[in-house]
Amino acid sequence: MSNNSKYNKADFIRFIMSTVEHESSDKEKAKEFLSSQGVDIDSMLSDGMKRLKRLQLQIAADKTKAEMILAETAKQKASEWVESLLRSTDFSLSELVKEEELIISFRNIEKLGQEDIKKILVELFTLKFLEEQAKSKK
Amino acid sequence: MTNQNPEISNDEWEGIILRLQSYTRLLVKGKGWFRGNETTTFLSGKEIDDYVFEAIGRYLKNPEKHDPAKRSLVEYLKKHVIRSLVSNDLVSAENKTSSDVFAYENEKEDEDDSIPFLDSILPLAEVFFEQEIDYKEVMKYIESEAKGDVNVENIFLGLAGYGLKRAEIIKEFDMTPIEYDNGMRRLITIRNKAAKKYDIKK
Repeated sequence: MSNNSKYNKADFIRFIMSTVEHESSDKEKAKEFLSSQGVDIDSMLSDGMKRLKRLQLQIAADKTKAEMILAETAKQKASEWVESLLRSTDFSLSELVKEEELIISFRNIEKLGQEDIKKILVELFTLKFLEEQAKSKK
Repeated sequence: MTNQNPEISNDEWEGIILRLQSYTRLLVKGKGWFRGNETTTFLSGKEIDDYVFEAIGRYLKNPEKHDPAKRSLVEYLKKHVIRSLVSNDLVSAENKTSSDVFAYENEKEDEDDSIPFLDSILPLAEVFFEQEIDYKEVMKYIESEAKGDVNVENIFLGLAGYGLKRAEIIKEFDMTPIEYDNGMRRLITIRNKAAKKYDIKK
């Protein structure tokens, strides 16, 4: 056979890759191909789904751990921020509420003690920093 | 257990696993067109499952990297993750200086879909192919075997000659999806005959 095909190596690769795509293009074609290769489909799927569940659990656990670390970091940052605010001589809670557009569900905030204010502000700023972290990740 | 991706049902996951298993098996040990031959163990001691679940794990960790508006999840995993993982193992095993292929996965996340995909991956796909195959001879054989079967001829021409996709071939050559699938099945039989004839191990 003479070596005068109009197709080159790139065409060959394109063709083979197309056939590979075809044999995995839907569930039935994939099953057909795997069966022709002697693969036990039921066993493969059973093992595969178990492995998937393990992966999902592992990733969920890693995510929870990462979120806890982030929350701890944000809380630490908020504590330091609030400490410095409260040390400031011209600190006014009502001004801060307005400036930061904070939502505080206490009617008489002037009557709150220093520790209560600190606790509320740390919680609020922790949430604020967490939101900022979430936004910056997007 | 709650599903981390509630939009993907167990039934859909089964379909994804089947398709990825099929694709990776073809890529890693399929038909001898690719390197690897008769073993499920590939480079770096990896099994087919390892590639499949590494790809799924990457998606589960960063689902936002897949844009459903551009392509289905399984297409994303096949074309953007598994192929990168396999080719990276091939390249890093055989050519340490080219390990930057790993960058390919990220580069292609936002690929311009106006460029035919198979054309865009040709330089990368080349690494999968055995250098000793006489491509021209094999293609000529496939072309001659397809002769007389109009649909098979047209599918071969569309795929190899023009780089068309399934839907484009169906439209261009005025065939039904069933005719395409049946024709493709016959073309794959011819491809396998070519592998046997040219002693490309299956």
